[in-house]
Amino acid sequence: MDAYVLFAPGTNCDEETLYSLRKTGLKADILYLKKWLSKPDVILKSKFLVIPGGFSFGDYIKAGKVFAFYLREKLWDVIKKFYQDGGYIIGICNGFQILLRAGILPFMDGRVHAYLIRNEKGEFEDRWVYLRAEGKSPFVKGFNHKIPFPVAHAEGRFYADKKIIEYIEKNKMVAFRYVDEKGNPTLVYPHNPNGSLNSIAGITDKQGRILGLMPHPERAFERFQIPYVYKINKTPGRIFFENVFKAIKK
Amino acid sequence: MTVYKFFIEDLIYENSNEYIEIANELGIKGLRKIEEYRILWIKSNEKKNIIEKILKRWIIDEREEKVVDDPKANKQLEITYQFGVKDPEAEEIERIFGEYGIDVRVKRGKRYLFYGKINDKEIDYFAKKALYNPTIEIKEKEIKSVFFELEEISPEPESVKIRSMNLKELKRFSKEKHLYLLTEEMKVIRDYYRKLNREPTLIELETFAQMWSEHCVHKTFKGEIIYGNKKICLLEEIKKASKNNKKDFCKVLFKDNAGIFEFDKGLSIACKVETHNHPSALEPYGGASTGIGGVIRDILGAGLSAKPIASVDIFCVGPLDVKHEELPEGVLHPKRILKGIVKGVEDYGNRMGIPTVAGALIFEKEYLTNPLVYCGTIGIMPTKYIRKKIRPGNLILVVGGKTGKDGIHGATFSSAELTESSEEIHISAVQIGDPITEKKILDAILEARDKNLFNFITDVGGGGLSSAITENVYPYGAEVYLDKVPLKYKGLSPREIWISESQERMVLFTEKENINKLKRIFENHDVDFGIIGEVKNNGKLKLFYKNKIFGEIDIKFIHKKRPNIKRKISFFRIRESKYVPPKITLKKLKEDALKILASPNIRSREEIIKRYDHEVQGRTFKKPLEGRDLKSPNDGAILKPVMDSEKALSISVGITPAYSRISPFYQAANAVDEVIRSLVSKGTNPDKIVLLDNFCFGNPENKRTLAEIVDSVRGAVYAAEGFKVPFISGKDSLYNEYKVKNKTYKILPTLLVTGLGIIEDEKFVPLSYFKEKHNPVYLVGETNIYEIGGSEYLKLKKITKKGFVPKVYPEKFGKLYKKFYKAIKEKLIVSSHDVSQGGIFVALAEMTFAEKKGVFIDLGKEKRPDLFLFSESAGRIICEVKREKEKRFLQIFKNLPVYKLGEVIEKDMLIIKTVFGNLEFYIDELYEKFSKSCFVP
Repeated sequence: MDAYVLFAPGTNCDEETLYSLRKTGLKADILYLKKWLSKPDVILKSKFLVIPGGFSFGDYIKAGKVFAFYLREKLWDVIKKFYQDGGYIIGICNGFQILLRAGILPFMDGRVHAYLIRNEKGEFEDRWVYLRAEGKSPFVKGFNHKIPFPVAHAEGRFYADKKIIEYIEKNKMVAFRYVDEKGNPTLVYPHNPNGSLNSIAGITDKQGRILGLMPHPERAFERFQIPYVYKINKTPGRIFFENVFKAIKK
Repeated sequence: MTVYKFFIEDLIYENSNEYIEIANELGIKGLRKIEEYRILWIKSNEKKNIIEKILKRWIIDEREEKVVDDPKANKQLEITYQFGVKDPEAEEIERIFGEYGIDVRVKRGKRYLFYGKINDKEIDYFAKKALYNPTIEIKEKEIKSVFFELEEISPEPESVKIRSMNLKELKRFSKEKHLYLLTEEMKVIRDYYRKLNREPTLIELETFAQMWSEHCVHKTFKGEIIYGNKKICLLEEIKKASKNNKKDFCKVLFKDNAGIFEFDKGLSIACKVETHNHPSALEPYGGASTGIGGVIRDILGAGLSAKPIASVDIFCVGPLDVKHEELPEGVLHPKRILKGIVKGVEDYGNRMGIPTVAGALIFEKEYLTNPLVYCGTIGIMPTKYIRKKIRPGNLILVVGGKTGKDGIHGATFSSAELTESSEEIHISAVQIGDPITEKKILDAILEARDKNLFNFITDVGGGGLSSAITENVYPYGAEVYLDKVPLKYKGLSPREIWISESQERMVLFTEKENINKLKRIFENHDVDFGIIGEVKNNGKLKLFYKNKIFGEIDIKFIHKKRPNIKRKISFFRIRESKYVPPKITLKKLKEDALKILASPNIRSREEIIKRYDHEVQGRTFKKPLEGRDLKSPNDGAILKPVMDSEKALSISVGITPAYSRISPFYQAANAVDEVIRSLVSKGTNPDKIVLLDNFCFGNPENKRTLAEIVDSVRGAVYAAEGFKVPFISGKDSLYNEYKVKNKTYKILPTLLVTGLGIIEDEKFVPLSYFKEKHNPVYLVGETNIYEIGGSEYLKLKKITKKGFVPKVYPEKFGKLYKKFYKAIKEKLIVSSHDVSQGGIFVALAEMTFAEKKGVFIDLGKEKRPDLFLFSESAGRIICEVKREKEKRFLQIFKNLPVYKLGEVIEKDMLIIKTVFGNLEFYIDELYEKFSKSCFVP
């Protein structure tokens, strides 16, 4: 198995994430949290984990908290081993919230250093934004300067203490930023849809093998999903998942 | 066990200003500030510091929240959920403590501190209007114990003496016991028990009340109506029209939980639309969320279960600018209603991972007391799963949510009008939904379906288990063991278990040998279930509780012996007259045009649309808003049920209640046409369209209302038959009335038509906005400038009952739509938009927003540009034609009504040339009016 799509009660972007992985040529399957808990080592046979979007455990106690609890308190050792063995992890939307709350991002130390708090406007919002890819992660290669991706979340405002932000910036751990029509990073709504600090839409760990991002590449995978006439020959979602493919198969 | 009470302060958000604004609206001027704290009551044997440590790491978020000491002020108020109201957040908190091996019980609440000059009476009034809803929450004074529990009971079967009752006594009895059975029905039941030579038990009577309720059997639509000198049955009329127009791809019509048609070889689509009006009037958030939850379960229960892939939501509410003092007693303000229902859809739909892709929002004063909330869901399934059958010997399983006292009498409640005291009487009729429980059921059931582990499935809706089981075990009969139903808490009587309408439950029928495999799937998905009965072959429904028999009903009798209702009404005449508004100047015309664009029924729904996840599952091809900045609204939505196939599914809704003030008949016919033309304008094959009807009316026992019902149904049938398009499913909701102090408020006769259609190739789909300069712009269809009755234009002039309403000529329109489809297939059309409320002007304006491409329109010698621009004549589509294909386009429409309006221009303006001079608008100016709205404060 190349990749597992992790699934907890309330996960709901599993189908399209799996579709994108498989269409890119990867051998991928769903892994139910409950099954994983009963057999933690199962992930060690794969090279890639993705925590898809959704409302894991309903997100009733803040987004991603319960899923993060299981990763941190019940599966921590095996996740660390998976990472040390060279595995890749991506968290999309709810997955990003989970990675931060479990302390997998930014430093894989089990402690919470950065947050995705409620959107500046205070509400759930589904809209298309533009991103800029940067940094050294294998996941951010080959993009144009303005990437259209949709976001759909209520808690996506990236926030951390000044020291942490400086560290993340200095070590080029920012993977995606929200940009305006001209392609410049912005703090202004609606191009920055949630009020994220430094326009941050996604970050990686220091090595670039763990990525968390709020936007949904799996919803910009097929051409029909883009809500206007898009002339560039590859969709941004396709580029993203091909990057995943290359990283795993290298 | 100790009860710890934690207060949590929100460090980021404070709602104080919003509350003060509401207080001012309510006439409370002295309120200066409100502080709001979350409360967690945690009952446990564990030490406080350990509880607090876990709380701080996993329950609260230190960046956003802080645990504080008992916050106090002179005036304060505490609220919590009522006993038995489901609180999934509390359950998740219990889960985390449980994983640490710590047993806790959790209850959540809020404390408000009031500052300023405000007295207790004002606090009480304000709190009820803005802070809590007594339907589901209680105040501190009423809290006996936060962790209140019911006593265990040991019930005995109780029989009721009805055999000796006369008709008057039967009538009173039915009302007192909230059975809402009609007197003639009570008489049939009485006579049945006289023949059996025994008295009925209460649970038996309840079963009759549920099975014969308006909600379950639709007495009025199935009843006999003498109309003039004709005898008709409304449901038969609709069914007949559908049968006559049924095509091969239509698979399941007016049977099962949903209509089903085949979308592609081996792949079918199921669709159902429901209303949830009464509950949404009392508790908008809970009402709307359980409405969606219910219709999703209909799709899970269609055939052997379909996977939901999209939802639609349609609301009709009162005008938002109504003053609080003008509201009839007991009625929630439309702002609060809209805010609640939008939030309900958002929270339930988004959490389910089902995209909400289309809808409508109507504001009319007749919905002030009775808002309408329509929820629809579309599902996909292999065609081999569209049929299901129960077999004797099957085990009966209830799956999903546990059963509590929720919603007892919800189904019979639908046969009653609301009154100002509905809040108190029907406290238990409204519930809050739990989408994650339902999501788990969905995942588990689809897995079980694909492994062929059950042979019948149905949802548990109105009437609870009593209808879900009784409806389906005909003619076999069954035994049900009510003590095997998983319960939320102790203290429920067998009768309550049988009729409870607790949410998120499904009933499965399966062979014994599948049980172990099913069990494994349910456990893996964290889904509760109970084996609660068995299908027999003796024609008897027997209800047991702990080995004692509580009821026994002849299944044939309850299914076949309900007395059919007979009603008589006279012919209904359409009250139409020509009305010509006074001429207006060009300047006034411009003002009116901008006002119409900004009117509540027309303006952008962006604010609501963006709060729904309309893209989850990745299938959404044409979204509610299109273009680079998502500015141009679409007529409906288009999905790609199979992402890598070229076929697509179009979805649209039609609803035109304002015409009902003049003609319920044409109101219904227009709704049908609106759906069909919008589907066709998006590239749908006109021969591959199916419709769903949802009628909402007042009390059918009122003759005038009944006449309007008949008129509306006839209008819908007339249009559907003429277009040769079948209805595949439908529902009616009656008694949408509100009684207060001898005054009865009733809604407008309202038909919602939902249409689905097949698009043979995604490349057929035109854009919804102007694209290329110099392309000619055409109007397909005829405009009658006097068809302004019920229009937005006359509404602006405060005239709602005069003028001709748009007429629908299905044969004529149908021919035009076929030609339009031909033009689409030949790829002559660049962009298109159907013309509906607000007329040509609104459609043109909406097409300019996305790319800021303007349009130049020449009205020629038209002397009434206002009427031409705002007439709402049916059967019209505006389209941008490829410049080089104009000749071919005209050839296709030879001898048919198409008019060249003008052409697309580079300039960012909408320019309309009239005999009185040019009418000019900047696109930015139009968009500003269109988008500057605030529906949900």
